[in-house]
Amino acid sequence: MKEEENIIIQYNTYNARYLSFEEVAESFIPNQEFYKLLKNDNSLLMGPRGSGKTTLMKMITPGAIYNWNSTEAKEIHKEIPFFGIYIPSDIQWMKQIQSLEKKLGDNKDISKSISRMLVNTNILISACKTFTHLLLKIPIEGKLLSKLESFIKDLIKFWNIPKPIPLSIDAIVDSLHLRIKEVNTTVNKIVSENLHFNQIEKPNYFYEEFFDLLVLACNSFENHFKDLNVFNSNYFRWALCFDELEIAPEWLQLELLGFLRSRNQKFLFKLATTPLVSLYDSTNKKYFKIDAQLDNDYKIIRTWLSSRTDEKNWESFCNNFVSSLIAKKFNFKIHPLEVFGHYNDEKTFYENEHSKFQKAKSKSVYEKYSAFWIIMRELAIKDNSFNKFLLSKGIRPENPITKQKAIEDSVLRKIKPIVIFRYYFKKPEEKLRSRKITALYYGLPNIYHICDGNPRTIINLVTEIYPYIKIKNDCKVNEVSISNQARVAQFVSETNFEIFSNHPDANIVLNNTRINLGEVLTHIGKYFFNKIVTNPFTMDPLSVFIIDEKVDAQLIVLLKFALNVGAILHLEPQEGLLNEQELRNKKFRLSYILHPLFKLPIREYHTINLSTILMDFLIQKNNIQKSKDQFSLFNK
Amino acid sequence: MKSIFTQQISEKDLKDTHFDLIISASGYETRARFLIEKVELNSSYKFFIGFNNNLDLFDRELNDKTFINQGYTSIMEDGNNSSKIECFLEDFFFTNKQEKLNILVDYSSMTRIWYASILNSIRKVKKLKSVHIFFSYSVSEFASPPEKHIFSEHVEPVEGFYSLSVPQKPTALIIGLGYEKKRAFGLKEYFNADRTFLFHTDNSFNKEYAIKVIENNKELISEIDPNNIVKYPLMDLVYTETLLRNLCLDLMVDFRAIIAPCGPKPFTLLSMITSINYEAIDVWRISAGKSANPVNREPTGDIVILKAEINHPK
Repeated sequence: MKEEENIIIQYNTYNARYLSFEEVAESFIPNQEFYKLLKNDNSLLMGPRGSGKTTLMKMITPGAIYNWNSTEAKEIHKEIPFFGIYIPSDIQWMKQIQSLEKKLGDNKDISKSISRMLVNTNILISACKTFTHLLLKIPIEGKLLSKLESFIKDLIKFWNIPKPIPLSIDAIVDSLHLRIKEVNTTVNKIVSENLHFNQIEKPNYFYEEFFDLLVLACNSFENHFKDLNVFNSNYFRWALCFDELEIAPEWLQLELLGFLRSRNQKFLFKLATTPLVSLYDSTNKKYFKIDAQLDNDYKIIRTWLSSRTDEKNWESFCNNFVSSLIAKKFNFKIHPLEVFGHYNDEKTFYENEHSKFQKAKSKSVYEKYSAFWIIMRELAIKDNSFNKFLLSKGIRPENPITKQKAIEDSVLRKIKPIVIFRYYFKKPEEKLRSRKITALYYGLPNIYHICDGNPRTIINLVTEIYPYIKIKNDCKVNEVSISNQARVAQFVSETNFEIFSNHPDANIVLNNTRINLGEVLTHIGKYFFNKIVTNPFTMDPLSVFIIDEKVDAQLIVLLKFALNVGAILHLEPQEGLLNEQELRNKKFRLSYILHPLFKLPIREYHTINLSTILMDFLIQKNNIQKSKDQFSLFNK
Repeated sequence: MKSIFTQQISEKDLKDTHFDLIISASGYETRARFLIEKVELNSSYKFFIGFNNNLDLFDRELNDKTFINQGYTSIMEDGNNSSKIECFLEDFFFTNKQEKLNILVDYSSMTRIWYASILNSIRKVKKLKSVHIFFSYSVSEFASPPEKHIFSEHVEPVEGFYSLSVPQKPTALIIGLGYEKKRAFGLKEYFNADRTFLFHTDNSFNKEYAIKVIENNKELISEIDPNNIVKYPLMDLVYTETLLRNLCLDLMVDFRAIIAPCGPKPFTLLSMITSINYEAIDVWRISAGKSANPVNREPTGDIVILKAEINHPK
């Protein structure tokens, strides 16, 4: 045991952004979202951070998809109805643009022109990458060489690339990069010499629209190469795959959402964004209305789980995905079940309270002397409210069995997970056991459910499990112990919590008091724990909250952030696009990845208003601030 | 191409130099006045920037008095702002006719925003043929970091020390570790950085400080490849600058590099100098801003001085 505890747990976050198209393809396991994204329509791919959006967006580009080798890949190569152009975005870039806007202050025209120029350049470089990947499929010689040269000449002409320039796509990319250097010089000039934008001679690229430039370039590509068999000339469409739309400049976000209403039959828009779409137009100080009709003009593809079907798809994806991860690490193909085992409510007690539960193993779940029977009997002794509950249902606490199938189904089956949690944590006389590790998070599909549809979380969790996987001589593996699985789940849960809380956007000021997201999440988590474990027993505890009318607008800013990073999840999202204005009266729950930290069952129960949950917390925060103010007044 | 040259100098060199301008800062820290009390400085013009808050905290009154008695004029400024400093320097350079200047900046009690804006303002004055900036830092006695974790409020590029780019190359992050709990935690995830490097001081600066840096960043340190963790001698500024510069040079080929100094001020200064030499390198501010709790800092008696020479080729 000691040896197990000494294993240093390292946490390395996986991110598809780091990987080349080829590398993404190498380890790709398709999921339902991927197949939806391959369809010939505009799509809005929505999901919290780490939910695999970048992988999916990269995978629908030629650079990745033609490097993907699997049985289904060949069919997809033939049928994919577009060529994807992957357009990245990142926080460094966004903050650079924001800082520029701040620096240029009232000169909004300049910052917007520069921001447009940077976006255009980024898109053109991305298009060049797709052209390059497509051209790799062709043996460039003879006639094709002159076609290629002609195509490159078109690009030079359409994109106003300065001449002389070698006839290669790389040279065009270099020239586009040079524009960035030039724009930096322009900005420095404007700032240091206090110049007006009009006083500076500006190249044409400041006035261009990326879409027009792309149409010209893509049409030229089609005209030059459509006769080649390697391309699906029937389709010849282009999909502009904008990743991380939420961190792109605001004008671009709104413009692209506007483009979802068919703009040009040859172009599709595939936009990846967080669960919440910002529709606020700060220039015109009003909310933007999307003309495009959901399902007619565009489809929403969500990466988080919101139905039983989603859960089943996720489990099936995880089986393939985890199996491939383990195979890659150990060079050894095994089913994840061999590592994690099946989840079973009673299993932890068989393992950890062996003598008490040994004989119970042979009994069926609701039978006398079964593990659940023992647990209910013991809980009824130390938990008066549970005792009363059983009596109210006509069940004798000293022998909690029933001969009525209806009661077994409607009561015992329903209360089982709650009873397990209460039994696990409760000591006699209403005291609680302090347990460092909650050995209730283990086994499949429980481990998959904890990850809540987030591939990055499952990668992190499996990576942490590696040190506990031991391959035996007979090529079998030991099932990782419940305590070690739970330890890893707890670690990943804590690390996610720390990442959410330490994010610079995870703070607000409410009534002069600074509030961090971690405090809010902790309060919600503790509230639900009390409802399930500490408070009088009920078969309908709480685990879902509604952002009701009484929740302060500032707090909603924090909740938006929580939603986008995946700390909370929007339930029942079938209603369509969730925009910032419409968070109120919607249902949410804590992400399951936080449940091991807050010791909550991986289940959805009943709903309560968030203002009720946070009432004590906000009063407490307010009082601390008041006493601080009084103290500083006294000191003065 | 390198446009700023550095060398480390001694207190004696300060004594022997005639300055055209001295800029200091007055706040509540005892060390704010240490340099002017210890070293007799000779300057044509001198002024201090006074924090516009905490006016009666710790040594603030005494600091102001000491500066005024020595003939310093003053401006008052918010720690998160630098517009008045920039205006003052603009006026100074407008009226000053010399082509070569010696300027002393005691940044011991300045905020990063202040000394970034001073360095940025000076380097942008094109009419100067050459300017020597002497950055003086009075080392302080160890004061424990706040027990409570204070979350970062400001994560943004430092004005004048970043350039525009396109997100076609991944981000490489160089974090200068400080001793505050978890100040640097989560930055790797925030930036989605492909590569992360950590810089932390060795014992030569302050043993207790160096231990606290490791202790309060242990989660982050455990995540990073040991080959990407660099221990630097803070008292040897030029060597540390070389370490930083060489790493940046390597990274610039495949990455867009960010230096995020969370640690001692001299490291932040070196980050800014590196960014001047290589414009593609961004320096970011990671700070708790006004949420930081005030701590008095007593001087140890040591002063670390970096002379930076900026030449503007005509």
